Amino acid sequence: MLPIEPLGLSANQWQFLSAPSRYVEASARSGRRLVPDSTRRQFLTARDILARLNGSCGEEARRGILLADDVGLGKTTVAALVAWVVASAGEKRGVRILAPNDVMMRRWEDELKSHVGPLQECARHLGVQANRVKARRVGRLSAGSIQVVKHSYAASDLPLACDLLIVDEAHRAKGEGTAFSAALKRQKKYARRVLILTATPFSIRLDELQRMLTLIGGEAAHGPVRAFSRVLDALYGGNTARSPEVVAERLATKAKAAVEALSAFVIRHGINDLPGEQKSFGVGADWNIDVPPARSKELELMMRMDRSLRVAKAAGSESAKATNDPRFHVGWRHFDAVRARLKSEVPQFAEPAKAVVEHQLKSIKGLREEVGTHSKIDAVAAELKTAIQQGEKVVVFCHHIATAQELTARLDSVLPEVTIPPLPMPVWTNAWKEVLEPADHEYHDERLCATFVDWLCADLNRAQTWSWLPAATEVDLVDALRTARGRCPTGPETIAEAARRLYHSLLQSKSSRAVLKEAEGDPERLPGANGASRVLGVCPPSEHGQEQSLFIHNQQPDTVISIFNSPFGPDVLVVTDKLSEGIDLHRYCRCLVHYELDPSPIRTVQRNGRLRRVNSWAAATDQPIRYAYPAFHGTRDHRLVQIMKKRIDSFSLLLGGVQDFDVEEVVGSEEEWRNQVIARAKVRLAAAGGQLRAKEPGAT
Amino acid sequence: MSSAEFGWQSLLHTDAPSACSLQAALFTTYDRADDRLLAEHLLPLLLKLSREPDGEGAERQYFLLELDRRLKQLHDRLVVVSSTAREEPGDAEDGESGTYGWIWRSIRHLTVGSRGKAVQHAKLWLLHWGATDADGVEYLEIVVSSANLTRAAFKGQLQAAWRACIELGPKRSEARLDRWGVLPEFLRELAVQSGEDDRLEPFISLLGRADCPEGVSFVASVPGRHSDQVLRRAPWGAAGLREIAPSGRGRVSVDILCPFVGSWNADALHRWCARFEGLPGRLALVWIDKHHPWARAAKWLLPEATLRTLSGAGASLLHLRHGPDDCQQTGPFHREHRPADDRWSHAKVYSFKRGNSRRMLVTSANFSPAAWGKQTDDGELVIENFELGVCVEQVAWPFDQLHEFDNEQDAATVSELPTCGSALIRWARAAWDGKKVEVDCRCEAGRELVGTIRNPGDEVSITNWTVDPDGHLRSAQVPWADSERPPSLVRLTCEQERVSVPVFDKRPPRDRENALPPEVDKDVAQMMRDELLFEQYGGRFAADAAGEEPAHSDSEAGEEDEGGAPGRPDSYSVWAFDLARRHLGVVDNWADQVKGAAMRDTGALERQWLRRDGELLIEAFERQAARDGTKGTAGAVGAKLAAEELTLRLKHFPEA
Repeated sequence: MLPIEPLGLSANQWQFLSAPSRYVEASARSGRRLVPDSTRRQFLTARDILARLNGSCGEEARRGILLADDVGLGKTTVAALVAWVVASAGEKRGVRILAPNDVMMRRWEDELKSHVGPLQECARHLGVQANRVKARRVGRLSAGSIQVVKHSYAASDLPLACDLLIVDEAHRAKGEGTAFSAALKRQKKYARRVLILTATPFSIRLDELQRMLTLIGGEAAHGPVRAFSRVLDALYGGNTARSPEVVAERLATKAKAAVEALSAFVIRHGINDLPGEQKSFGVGADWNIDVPPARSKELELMMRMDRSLRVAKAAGSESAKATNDPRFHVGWRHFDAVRARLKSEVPQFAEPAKAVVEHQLKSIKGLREEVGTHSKIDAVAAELKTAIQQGEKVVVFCHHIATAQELTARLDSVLPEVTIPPLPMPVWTNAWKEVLEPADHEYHDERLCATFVDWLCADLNRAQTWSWLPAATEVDLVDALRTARGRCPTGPETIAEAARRLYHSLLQSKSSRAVLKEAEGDPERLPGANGASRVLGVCPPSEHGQEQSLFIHNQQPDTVISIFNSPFGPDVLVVTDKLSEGIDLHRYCRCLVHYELDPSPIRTVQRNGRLRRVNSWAAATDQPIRYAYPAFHGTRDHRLVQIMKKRIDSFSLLLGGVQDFDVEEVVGSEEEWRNQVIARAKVRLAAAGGQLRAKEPGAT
Repeated sequence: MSSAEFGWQSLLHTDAPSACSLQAALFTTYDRADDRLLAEHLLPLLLKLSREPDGEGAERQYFLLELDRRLKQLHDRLVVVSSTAREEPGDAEDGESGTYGWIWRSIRHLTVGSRGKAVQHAKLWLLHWGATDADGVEYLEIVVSSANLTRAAFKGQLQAAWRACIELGPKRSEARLDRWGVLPEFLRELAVQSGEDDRLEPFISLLGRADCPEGVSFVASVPGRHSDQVLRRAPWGAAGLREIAPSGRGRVSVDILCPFVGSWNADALHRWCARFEGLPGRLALVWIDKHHPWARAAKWLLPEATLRTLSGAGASLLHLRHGPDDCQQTGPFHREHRPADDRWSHAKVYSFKRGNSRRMLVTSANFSPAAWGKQTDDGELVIENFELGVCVEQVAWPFDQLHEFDNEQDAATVSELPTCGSALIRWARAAWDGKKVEVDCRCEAGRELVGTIRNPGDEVSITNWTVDPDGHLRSAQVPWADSERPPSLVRLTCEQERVSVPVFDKRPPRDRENALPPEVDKDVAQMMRDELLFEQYGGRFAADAAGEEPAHSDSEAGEEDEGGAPGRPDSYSVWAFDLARRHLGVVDNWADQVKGAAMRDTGALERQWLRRDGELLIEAFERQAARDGTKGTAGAVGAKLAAEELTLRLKHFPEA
């Protein structure tokens, strides 16, 4: 093992972390007000990390720390504070942050920069400057700089020499053979300290967790972690004839031992362990969406397709892979695409497969005409219409693109049409211009601002804004915008503040600036600019020409995310799991629909974390976060929902150690047995998990 | 005995590869074949039934239906030939009320005696195994033994048997057939005497497709008076012994193990020995003393006069002792044989030795003139029985260690052999075509013959016999159209003699398909048959399928079930989908078998079965759809799809 070089910090240099209230006040002045309760915990966590990394306050210096807080607790905030202290204190140091993708890179950049103001006020001695954040490649990292790059950067030939390497979403370094995993192994020796961020330490493969522990010098925990991991494996794949009591005892014991071994290197808070902060996250609540059971004709369609594909497969078809594709259970678009493909292959089949498939396709064609719109899509669209009429924004997660496309198109056809407000357009334009001035942003540009105002004046935004204004007139529109709040009278900001914040957010992002620029000549580039569509699909656009406008036009979702985090723009965002990690959708949305589940409980938890975050809309408006798991009764979709709901209930208890599953393979009695085991071990598991919380440095 | 090798079930075994299926079988036996032995032991083995006969309730019904189905598939392809057994008072009602009398609707039961007096004493099994593997190899399995098809023969007796399983060539060859020696001709004679001249021709053809194993030859007896000329062509009885005796110089000695010794005089004994260049003085008979349990039970019989003949001719009598019951010493019959074994030896084994060469004959033939023939003064050989033996090279004779009796007076003997009176009813057969029962019977001319046709609930007298000119062959046709209660048995009585003949069902396949074993509950039979048919093609084990219910009675009801209330018992998968896949899995398995059979030249019978099964599966799935539909409309879809697809696939069924 390499010797641990001193970091050369002094606890005095992060003294400001002991005064979170002052920092919260400063954050409000800089435009991003932090939440006191959460800030207190985040600051404690940052202090704990710094003390352990530096070896202060009686702590032994450690090579690294794994921060494994639940989704939404603000790991990025904690790590950003740590990064600023390490980079800026005393003799200054170099910090590198590895983020999984461009979106996350920008988020890091925003996060780091959002602390510049408060730090300048509360920790002047650090002398932080926004320009020390380098969200790009740099030849040599200068002292005092924080570089933000993608995971892939680690794989380059450049040695990532630095004083602190922060690896975000580290669980993406899957598999011994992946480039990122190999690169981390190689780069480890160039980083004096490592801070790893992941919400799901036990959701990943054991060897991956072991590699993470190795990165942070936590080899001592390998044995107990392996033992706990084995118990988890046995829970999900072992003999279910064993006594639940015995297995529960073993599970709790091994969890405790693993936690004890990890506690030197791992800090973790579960969202359920923080009752004091619940108010700032929002409380989750079930949102029941009634979906009628599958009609027998719908089931027959799926079964006929399953059969056709099986026969086709046996006849040599290469396209007949997933015969009971999960997409067939939640929509017809992929189903129809497969049907068309199969039809083109039929002439090549030998008899009797040819006759069988031809017959099935003929029957399918007739049934499809009878069945029409998918029942689940219909039911969910109807429910979303109601939610939107109540002023909500909704994010809908799909697992597949075809499903997202189909749902987007259906929602577009059923959501209420926009009612054009009475005031003339120039009145709106002038009002918005007035509201946005002065536009004190480094990237402010009159033309960009004009484009943004044009977008604010689009039919949809005008209609929305008008609905939030109590009784505005041509004369007092500006005042109304400056006093009324978007979507909810108790919202956190006025309409004007929201517009200004959105404008700044768009300017902050390079890709959003580009979109604004393009939108000058092509307003459709900005979501909602077409003035009619209340729904936006964040996935590749469908091939149906008339649907093109319902989808984003590039693969950079920054603009969409920024707009969705404002009161303006599309009310419904239909997204795939590309947006299930690392991004915020919580600023104006408290309604999430799992239209189509991924079989991974981690994914589901990650999705939920998009809304259950500090400063959520639910918390701001004192309403619950609504999670909907609409299930298509009678199909595998329904089964998937049943199992998933149980598994995510135990997610936090098992430190994220809840395994993926194949719905076809899950045996009911075995799942029941697992739930019994977890129920019996619940109290002890919760107590064990609590030991990983951050503690006051030096406290015993 | 528990050993599989030496237990009572050791003959209940096949050497054919496990994937093979029986396509035809011939069994010969002296005693009337025991229904229970066939139905509960032999047929389940050979037909590879998945159910046990001793199950209770539904399991028992499934067994009966499975057996019935396989027998119907092999209708008229299983043949049993026996002697015409007159009934003893004790078993008078047995034939009528027997649990398994119905199996004879499909099994052709023949008796010898249609052309004159004859006893069927051979014990031959010929089993034709069809291929189910892609290689298409079929087999002929031959068993020659001393075992009759009775439970007593299997459970109460020690038997000697020879077995071979031989790959069949694609085509019959006369050269191959010749290498089987007298066996093909033996089968022809047996068929003629059974009144069905061509009935055994398929088995002769099988011999023409199989190579007789190296070093194996057959010795057979057929009843009749055979001239030298005939015997040169077909050396029946003792005439065949010369061909199997070891070649060389010097006299042939013979050791004999058999439980029944006939009446021999010195001349007959000498002539018998001369047939294989032997001498009575070189004959050794393995025998028991009068205290031996087999003697006390009158199982081994040796006339006193014959003993004197043997002694007088210089033959040896080797003393087979019975050790104390608690003795663990191995006996000569088998390394696992112990004195406590209460089975008696029914084996008939002859060991011929010349010089150092030894050949062993495993046969049905006792050491009697009735079996081997009695030579008349004009040189003809008069044989009473059908007998069959197989001769193989042999190194050791397990009775070599026996010593001669110290005193031959100790040998177990009988003063006279039991006599069987001349049979009045020599031969009979009965068949039903759906409209009438046809009965043929060879009975002593001029005697009154009373006949009745029965099923468990009915009895109809036979009143109008027609008699052929010589007065022996009588025939009757009795109307019987009740397919609900098919005729099972014809009982013939002539004076004190009574013979029961099972009625063979010769209706067209579709008409006989629905007949049920009497024990089966008609109300559930159809469902059970469907399930068995599904099971045959990989469907769920039928008894399990019967109790299957979805967790919620109607998947369209919309109620929210929790994780513990799965779609199919104990699973989170979707019941309707599972059901559909299971049903369609049956179609797949059926289709795979059709494909396999289409690739085999020899798959004609299999194709015939598969085609019919395909038709039956369609009907079964249509019924299943109605059953599944009661648990939720979506449940019916799978069976409906299966029936649909089978209909399509049958349109493309590969013909030969």
